[in-house]
Amino acid sequence: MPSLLELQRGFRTAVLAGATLPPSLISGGKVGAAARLAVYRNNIMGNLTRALRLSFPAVERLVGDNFFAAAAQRFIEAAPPRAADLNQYGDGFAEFLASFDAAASVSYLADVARLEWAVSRALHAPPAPPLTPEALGAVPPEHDVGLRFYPHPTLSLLSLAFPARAIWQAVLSEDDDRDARLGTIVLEASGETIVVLRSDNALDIEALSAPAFELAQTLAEGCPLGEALEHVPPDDAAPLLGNFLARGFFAGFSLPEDDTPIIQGS
Amino acid sequence: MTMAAGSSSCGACAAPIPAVAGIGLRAPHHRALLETLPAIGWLEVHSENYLGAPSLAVLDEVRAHYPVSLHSVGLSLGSAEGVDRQHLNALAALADRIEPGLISEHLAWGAVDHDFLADLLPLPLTEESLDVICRNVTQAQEAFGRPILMENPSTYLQFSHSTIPEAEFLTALVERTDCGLICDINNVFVSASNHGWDPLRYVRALPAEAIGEFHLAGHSEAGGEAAPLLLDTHDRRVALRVWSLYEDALAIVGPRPTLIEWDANIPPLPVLLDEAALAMQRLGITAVEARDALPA
Repeated sequence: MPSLLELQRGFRTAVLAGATLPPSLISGGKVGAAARLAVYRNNIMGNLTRALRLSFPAVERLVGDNFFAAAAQRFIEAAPPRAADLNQYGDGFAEFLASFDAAASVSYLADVARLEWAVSRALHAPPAPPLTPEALGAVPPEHDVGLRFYPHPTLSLLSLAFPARAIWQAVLSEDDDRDARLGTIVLEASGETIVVLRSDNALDIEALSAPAFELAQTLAEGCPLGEALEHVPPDDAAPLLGNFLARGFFAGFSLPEDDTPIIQGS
Repeated sequence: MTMAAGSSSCGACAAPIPAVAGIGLRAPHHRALLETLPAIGWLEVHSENYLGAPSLAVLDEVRAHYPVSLHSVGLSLGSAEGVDRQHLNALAALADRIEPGLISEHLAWGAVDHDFLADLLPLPLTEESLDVICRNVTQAQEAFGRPILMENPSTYLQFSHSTIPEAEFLTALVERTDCGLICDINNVFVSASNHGWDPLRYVRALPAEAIGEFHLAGHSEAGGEAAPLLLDTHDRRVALRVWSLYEDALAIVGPRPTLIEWDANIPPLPVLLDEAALAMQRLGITAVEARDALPA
């Protein structure tokens, strides 16, 4: 007789693999152990596939129901959720699609998935007031170079090879001319850098210039301000920073030699 | 902790759930509900669907108009490894904010090694499982600061090494943790059919005074190799034989808040209100009395 933990591990492994448990573990009747376990597998796959469909609607439209379900199944088997909140499920789906051989012909698919995941994160992250220039203004100037910023919980900075934003907008539009719109998009790996966040309870998706993207990313990773600005022309620094703050890229900051974050509203 | 102490500690803040029919609120009905504010005594939501910002804003607004019951599906109180602290904290924070009339979970597990399987999976009903779930329910009740209701699940298999009949297992859980119960009538019917139990005997074996809520939903019949299993699909109206079992349960247990659940092939809101009206008839409550029971 297995311990409860052994049984739960065995059950998890079996339902994810589409395998069965030893028949001796399950009291039978007319319906066999495999068919009974399959009911649970179908429930799990159905629930998790539905969660992925909600977060990746454009990917689903691009590849169709059946392909999406097949891809989702492979992803779920390899990487089941790590949290009970299914809105958090989908991190890594874009990378999975990028390495999914069956999707290789849709070169831009993974980029559309990256964008959709950023949108989903932005929509579902808890509300947090953005860091304002006024709050930062209270910091003595001598501390400026050592300032570290905390990214807003809704912020994603994406460097995409394909014009995923135009594809995403066209695919999800309800217009009659959707196919025509899609046809006008040049599917070349021209590259774009964009920011996704929620601000004032609205979704904000904007292109960023390459220098702005690089600076925002360096700061969002927690690099001290002085170091981050080393490669930025001095005249550009203040406008870029002012723009980031105005758009709510950050939720807080910490002072040099003090890791305690100062988060607005907390 | 006793039921009475738990109830009184929160009595001042939470709108209690009246012993009338309520409906399970799902996202497709958010707009219709808030636009029409139908005469329904209370609403129940799956807590996990209201942890994100957009849906939480809807729930705040809903709560301003109705008593709300928080019913979670992801705490995995049957997990041998214990409760996921982070998720429990998130649900406790939601409860602090919403001030629900009831909080509930299931006799089930869904997580192991931090893999969350998004389903209500069956437990072997053994002394070890009873120890585990009592410990986890106690931890959850401490986090919520009040007793919770535990729901009997629909199951599709039984483990050979189970030693305790399900109704006895739930009775022991109540005795050891002071939790209450949801008696899901459809689940009783589905599990009884799948395992050859007597559904009435099951209902009679539960401690009536601990039952704080009934659930009702539609089920379907499995095809293929899983036939003739019944599946708890929540995708249609309540079956006639489930209504009949509900009438028997009302006679045995007495009137309790009764929830209509519908989770797939979700029809327009009036269809759920119609099902709720059918539950009200069985509860012996007229439409006028139902309106009077509504919070002002």
